[in-house]
Amino acid sequence: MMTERRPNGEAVAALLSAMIGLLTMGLVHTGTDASKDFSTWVLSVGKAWIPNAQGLGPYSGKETFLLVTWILSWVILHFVLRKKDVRLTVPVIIFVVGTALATLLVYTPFIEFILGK
Amino acid sequence: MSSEDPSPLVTIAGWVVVTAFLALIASTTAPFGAFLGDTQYAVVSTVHGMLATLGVIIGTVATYLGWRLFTGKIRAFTDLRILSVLSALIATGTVLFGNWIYVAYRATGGPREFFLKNNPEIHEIFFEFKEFIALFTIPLSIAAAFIIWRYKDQVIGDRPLRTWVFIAIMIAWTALMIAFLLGAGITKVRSV
Repeated sequence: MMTERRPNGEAVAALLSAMIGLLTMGLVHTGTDASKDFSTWVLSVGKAWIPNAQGLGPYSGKETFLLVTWILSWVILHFVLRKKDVRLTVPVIIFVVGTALATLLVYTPFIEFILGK
Repeated sequence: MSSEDPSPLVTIAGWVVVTAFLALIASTTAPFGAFLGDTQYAVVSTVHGMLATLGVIIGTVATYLGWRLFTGKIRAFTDLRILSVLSALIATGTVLFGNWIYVAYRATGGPREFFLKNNPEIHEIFFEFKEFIALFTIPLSIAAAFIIWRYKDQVIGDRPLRTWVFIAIMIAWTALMIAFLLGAGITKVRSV
């Protein structure tokens, strides 16, 4: 019995949303390094739902941003792309570049370099 | 195989019984508690470390199967399906327990204070990076597991998709290894 081929849009949504969550976390982390006020606000975001967020510090808010942007973008992209078959070259390049950037944005020497510290 | 050979089931059952017996003797006679230390976070940090170690073992096998998937020569696709889910669960569990002990790391008199006073680079560069790179493992391993389960055998015949899945698995495994090795190194210098 031949099974119907599933369009690759759902896979694109799953992987791109993972990258979006990680990149957002990297940007938020860099932002907390740049601004004390922003760091305090990020901590308040974590405090809104994570037990003992005060003990975790702004890290709790950064995890929250990762989680929210990842899940939210996954849901949105899933429904937008689920019936579509797309050429993967461009999404893969976006994924690799975005994930590499996310990695650099959690690496202190790179953050200090771009913030001119 | 001759008819006198024990069946695989008998062999495994025998091995489990003997191992359980030896483990029972060891656990009731050897002072394993001495390894854990006497801090409030002894058990939590042990679970974190053991989950991370398990994650390295399972993640490494899953990454090898991911490589086989990438090359189009995978036979044990069912194993990859199971290990992809296990990797995602273990990554999530390791991070949750890591969060728990991170509170102790940041507490007054904790390792963070010690590092900032004696060797700030260990905290500012290595530990900070470890804390964030460990988080990479969760969305990437969950995304890979989702695709492997959702697309089933279709992913084997779809070269661009299986390549992308392998890239995600490889990045997750690299992140896991960096976090694991940095965690081990930092704990060696100062633990919670």
